Amino acid sequence: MRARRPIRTGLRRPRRPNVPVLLFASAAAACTMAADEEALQPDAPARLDSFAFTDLGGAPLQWEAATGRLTAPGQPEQPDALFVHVFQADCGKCAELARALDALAAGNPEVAAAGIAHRLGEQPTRAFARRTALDYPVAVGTESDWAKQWGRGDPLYVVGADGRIAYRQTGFREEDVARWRAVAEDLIAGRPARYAGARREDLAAGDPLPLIELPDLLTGRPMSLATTPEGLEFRDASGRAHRYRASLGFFSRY
Amino acid sequence: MVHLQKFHEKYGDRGLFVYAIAMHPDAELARRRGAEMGITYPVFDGRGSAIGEQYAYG
Repeated sequence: MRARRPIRTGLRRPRRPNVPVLLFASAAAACTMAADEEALQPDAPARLDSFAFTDLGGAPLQWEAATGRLTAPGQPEQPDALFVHVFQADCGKCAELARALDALAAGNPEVAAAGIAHRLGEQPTRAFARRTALDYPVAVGTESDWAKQWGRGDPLYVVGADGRIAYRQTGFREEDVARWRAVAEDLIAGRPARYAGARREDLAAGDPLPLIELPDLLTGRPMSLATTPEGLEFRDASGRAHRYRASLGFFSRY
Repeated sequence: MVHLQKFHEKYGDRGLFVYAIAMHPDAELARRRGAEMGITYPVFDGRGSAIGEQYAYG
């Protein structure tokens, strides 16, 4: 039996600004903010499909779902916990996640990590790997069926030795790392993972729209979106007020 | 962003306000990508904002 090492969690770099992905529709209703835990969806596939790519150094980056065998430079062949990050090279949160994952995986022989780009080509993916100084292998999977199937939302999957997806998350917050560590420790010990996903604070149907007072990206002038007794009021960069019956907004990665 | 642009064009004058909160650390890149995608709805600059810190995680 292999010696178990504690899973490292230290982030090697300071916290970066936030990036996107929450989508919220708003209405002038009332309720409270919801704290929720992302879990595997009941209809989500339980097993990650096998993949076969070539990493940026020209080496195979392959994983066989049926056997749990990984072929990847510098990674264990039969990891107890395989972290697969499916990302986009120009996504800020992806870079934060990758750095944190690299820190966790380094020096833990039961843990393997791999990055697979599901959008953009080799040049920006190389720049991403260089910028984030990753030790784990990275491949370009753009346009592949696998990436189309598994890349939606820039997810991170943690797969156990049995090939089953134990954990999935999208986006990144620093506190996620503690969950990764716990999941890895569980999988290494042969236990069911105690978490299936990351904890997120989302808005839900019925929640009030938070007041948004931020500069216009184009002009830098203040804009706002607020709920008023008369409905939603958007004040544009020239100060003019506009009324709406509903709004549809999202955090953009750009 | 492109799909929301279609919503904006179809429903914007019927009472639906479509917007984005840009979170990319490089605002110039965000502006350029928005222009390339033909975005005409308002885009807030969400970098470093409390609302971004609270709700934007992806």
